[in-house]
Amino acid sequence: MRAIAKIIGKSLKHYRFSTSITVLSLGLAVGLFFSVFAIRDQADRAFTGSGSGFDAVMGARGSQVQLVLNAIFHLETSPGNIPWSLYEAVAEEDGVQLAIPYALGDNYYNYRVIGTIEELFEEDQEIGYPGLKLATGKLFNSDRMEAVVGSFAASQLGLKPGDTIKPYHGLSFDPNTQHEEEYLITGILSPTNSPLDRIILIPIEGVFRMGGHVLRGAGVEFDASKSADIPDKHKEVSAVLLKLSSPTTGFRLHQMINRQGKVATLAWPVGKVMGELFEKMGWMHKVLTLIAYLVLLVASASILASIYNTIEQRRRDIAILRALGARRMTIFWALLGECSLIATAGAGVGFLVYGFILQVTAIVLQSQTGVVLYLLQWNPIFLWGTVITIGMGIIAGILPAQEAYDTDVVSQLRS
Amino acid sequence: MLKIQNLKKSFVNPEGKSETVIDIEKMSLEACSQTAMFGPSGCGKSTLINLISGLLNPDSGTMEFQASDITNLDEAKRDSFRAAHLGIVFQSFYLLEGYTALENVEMAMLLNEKLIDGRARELLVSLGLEDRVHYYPSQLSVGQQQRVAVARALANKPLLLLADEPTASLDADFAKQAIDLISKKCKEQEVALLLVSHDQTVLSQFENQLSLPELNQAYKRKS
Repeated sequence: MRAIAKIIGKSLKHYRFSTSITVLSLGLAVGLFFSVFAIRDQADRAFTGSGSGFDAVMGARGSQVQLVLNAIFHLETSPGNIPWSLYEAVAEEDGVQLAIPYALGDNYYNYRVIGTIEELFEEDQEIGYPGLKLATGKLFNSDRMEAVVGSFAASQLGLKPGDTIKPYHGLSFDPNTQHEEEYLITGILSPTNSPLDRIILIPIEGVFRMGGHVLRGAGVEFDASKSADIPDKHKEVSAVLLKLSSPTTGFRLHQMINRQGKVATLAWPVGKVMGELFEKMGWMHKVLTLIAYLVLLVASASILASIYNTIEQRRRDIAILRALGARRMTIFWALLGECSLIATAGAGVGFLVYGFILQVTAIVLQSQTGVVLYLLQWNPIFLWGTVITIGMGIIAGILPAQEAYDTDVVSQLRS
Repeated sequence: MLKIQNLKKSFVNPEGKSETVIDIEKMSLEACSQTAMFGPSGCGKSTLINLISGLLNPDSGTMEFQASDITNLDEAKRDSFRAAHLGIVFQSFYLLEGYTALENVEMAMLLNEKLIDGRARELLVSLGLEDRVHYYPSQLSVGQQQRVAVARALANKPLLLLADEPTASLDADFAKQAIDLISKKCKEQEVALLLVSHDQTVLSQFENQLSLPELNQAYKRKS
């Protein structure tokens, strides 16, 4: 055993350059392999899990996916508005624990400004948004032009309580569309590692009254900025986030809104809607998975090529070792051991590469969606990916090990 | 210690015909003896060394070592036998290039699964290589390389040391010194020596001499 270990150690040292290149290329492949699976799993969970804290979203008639992406993940454009009365009606339904209206239409340097109500911040975690609390400052007063900023948006924009902002019209930043209204920042939210970190919340009345905004809740245009009081019939909302007491309520609302109604759409359950989106993109996952396996296969073949190419150089040493009493199997196991060590080192480097890819992806994903990926989150792929890599390394070593095994000692020592 | 009877070995020549290279009716070596075997190129010296060391299998005949038949050992057992009981000094020394002098000697012991702490260094020091133990073969002179090869061959306290033209790479003065050294170390360690050479100067240093062309019927027939 010690002899095998010594032979492996010497061989790795002697062929360190080619070994390093092989380990590096394998590490890149393994890192990619881990990333494809682990990032997909984390992203899947983030988008389809219950992280949003809400069971359903109600919005204008149209695509459920668009509704969820817009209201929960703040990614898509709004499919339109629904009258305030619908919000009030659904909020009164049995089994609806919480109904939070969202009014969208403005941004501040691409961070969405959303009008909502104070109930979003309900301290009772069973009712309010899970984990949503203020890190500094206080909640906005619904009667004032005040705002609360998500943690990521605040850090990126350098906002703190006491600062003021003037929102821009539309969901994409255009410097020529700034509103006149000035909002005072009263609080910064604690990080939730969710899309909420990327938004700015103001009282819903603020959105109604923003200059240039026109309300069409009653079917006719109503300019709220010039009115002291806004009749409910004119009000409209982009979406209503719903917390339901049971799936039965969800099913009933689904029947009522989607099947019998014609004005609104209920996206329920949120996780299932997003799951369907991911299922539609399943082919892409399959392609990526196939590519990841192929890359790993090619990288494993590089172990074979790397060792096999040096077999002729190794034959002299193999013959000497055999002449000194090394058994054929000692040589065979030494070669296999070397390949498995290279594969193990490749897997180790793969973790570093994965860490790098995940960090870069996490930065991009958080800035785009607010969804956070965790570097240290365990994924079974780390275990069986490592086992596969080492297994492939060993398989790749069989051919060169067999060549070494078959080395003709006498003819080698004669030459 | 070593008894050979009716030993035959043939190879297939490039023309596809079987050609007998070794045909020895009888040959023996005593324990702790020192014997020089001579003969011109092609008389089968290296083949005989390879047969005794178990690197080649004879076609027929018997070889007894310490009263045990080693002719029909399977390959793994021959490997173990070689590691435990034989030391070999090759013509080109055949040191492992990526290993230091010390590691070359230790590797022979590791392959015999009997690494004795300090023995490798002790052997190298006794051969005048105390300041060269961590040198790689490429950093050693030819004479120093040969001493490392001798130390390695003696590492496992073998019963028989086989030296195949060990002075072929050395000039006459060094050759004499080298033979003296090998002979002295074998006596010290109580190891029998079978030295193969075609160099008369080398042969003259030994009392026991074997003429392979005389022993080898196959060579006799050919010539």
